[in-house]
Amino acid sequence: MEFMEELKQLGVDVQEGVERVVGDKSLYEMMLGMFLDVVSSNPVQIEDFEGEVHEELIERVHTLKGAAGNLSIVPLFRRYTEVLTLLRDRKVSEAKSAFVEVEPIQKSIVDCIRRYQNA
Amino acid sequence: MKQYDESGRNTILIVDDDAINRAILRKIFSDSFSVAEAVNGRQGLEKILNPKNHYCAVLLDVMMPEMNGIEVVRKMENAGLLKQIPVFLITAEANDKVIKEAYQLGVMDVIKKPYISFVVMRRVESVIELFETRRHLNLVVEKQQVKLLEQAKQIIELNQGMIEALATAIEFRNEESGGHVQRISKITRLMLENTAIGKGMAQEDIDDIALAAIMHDVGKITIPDAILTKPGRLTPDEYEVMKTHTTKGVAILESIPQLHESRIFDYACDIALHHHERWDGRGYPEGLEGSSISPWAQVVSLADVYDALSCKRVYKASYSRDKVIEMIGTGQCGSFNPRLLDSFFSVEDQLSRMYHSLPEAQNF
Repeated sequence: MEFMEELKQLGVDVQEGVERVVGDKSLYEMMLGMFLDVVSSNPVQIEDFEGEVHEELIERVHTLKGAAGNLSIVPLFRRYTEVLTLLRDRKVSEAKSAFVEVEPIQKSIVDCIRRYQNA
Repeated sequence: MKQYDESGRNTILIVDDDAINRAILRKIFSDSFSVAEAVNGRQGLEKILNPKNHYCAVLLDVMMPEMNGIEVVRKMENAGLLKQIPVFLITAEANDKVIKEAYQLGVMDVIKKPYISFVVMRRVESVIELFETRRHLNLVVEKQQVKLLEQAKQIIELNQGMIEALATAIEFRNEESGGHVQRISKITRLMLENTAIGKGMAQEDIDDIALAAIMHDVGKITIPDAILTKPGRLTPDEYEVMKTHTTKGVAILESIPQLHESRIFDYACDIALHHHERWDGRGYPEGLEGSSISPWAQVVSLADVYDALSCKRVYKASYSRDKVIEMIGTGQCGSFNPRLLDSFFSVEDQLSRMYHSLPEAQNF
């Protein structure tokens, strides 16, 4: 399956993402590569949702949400938005539950991008 | 001076810690603008405040490390830059509180992420165009103001030149050099600016009076040569004719319609008419007494006497400085307001320097 087609299957709004970079498909693909860097430099794990909410966690979730939104990675953007709102409201256990849903979706999308980037 | 790239394009500054967002915005604007970037608020502010950089717009994220976007906007406001550079907040944190604060501070627009590219482009470009047009209009207005001020200055100088030329022409008839009217103007100015007699007067009024003083003897143009240049003492009849130079001076000034609109008109008429009045009422033409004579007419009157005594005239030699002071102090040339005399003697030393190397004041 073609890269963009596979991303669409994973819920990414490819058309909107490409339009955001003024129709430059190769730039969009390059930015998807940058998304991998954003994910690795802003690691969020289930253990981070234990105890008090740290500002650093909020900042990382904020960054991931922003990057997902800019690239129209809709499933991640929606869920990170939810996680971020819950964290800001100090609802840690609800945030943790919401994040549990994020992990597998992010893994699928990251794997897809990495596979095509390395191809 | 604005910052342009090699193609002459304006520069937009993007301040965002998110590399993806910077890349997208660069892509959106790089066809029409030169694009500069900063990776946090502090770096962005440094670039904005650097006088070498001149941006046509700043696109600013809100949540950033080191300094957030709202703080950058506050600092720009403190530096008076928000009226010069349009600032756009491009943020995912566009809640009501942030939006309200941003607009209150003077941000031009708040654009929520994720955004639609062409909407961002149109909103930003429209505001830049508006600012450019406003800047251009301000420049045009500034240039026109400079030009108008220059023209007004030329007109004032021309008017002053013509007044001086007229007064000097009259002095030449009197076989004097024209220096007399200039000295009267200088003495008047010096006394009004530096002594109690001019206290409380606006500088603008002093300037007008000093110019009006130049025309104090304009009426002498009507006096026949036989009287005006008579070497000896005038007969009573001749003196009566000579005295008419005050009233005829006013008539001449009133016959110049353009002068009526000038600020100096009233001063010039008053001085021309009353510069031979005396404090005790024994002057002419109206025999005014005391403070019914205006302070400026009194000052010109004393200046006229001081200059006439110090310099040689067709009917007399110049007197020594001591003699001049004595004659004025003892009222030999008519009485003056005691307060005016105090003011005069307080600056006489300064006034006397005008006469030190003057040929017509050889005995001074």
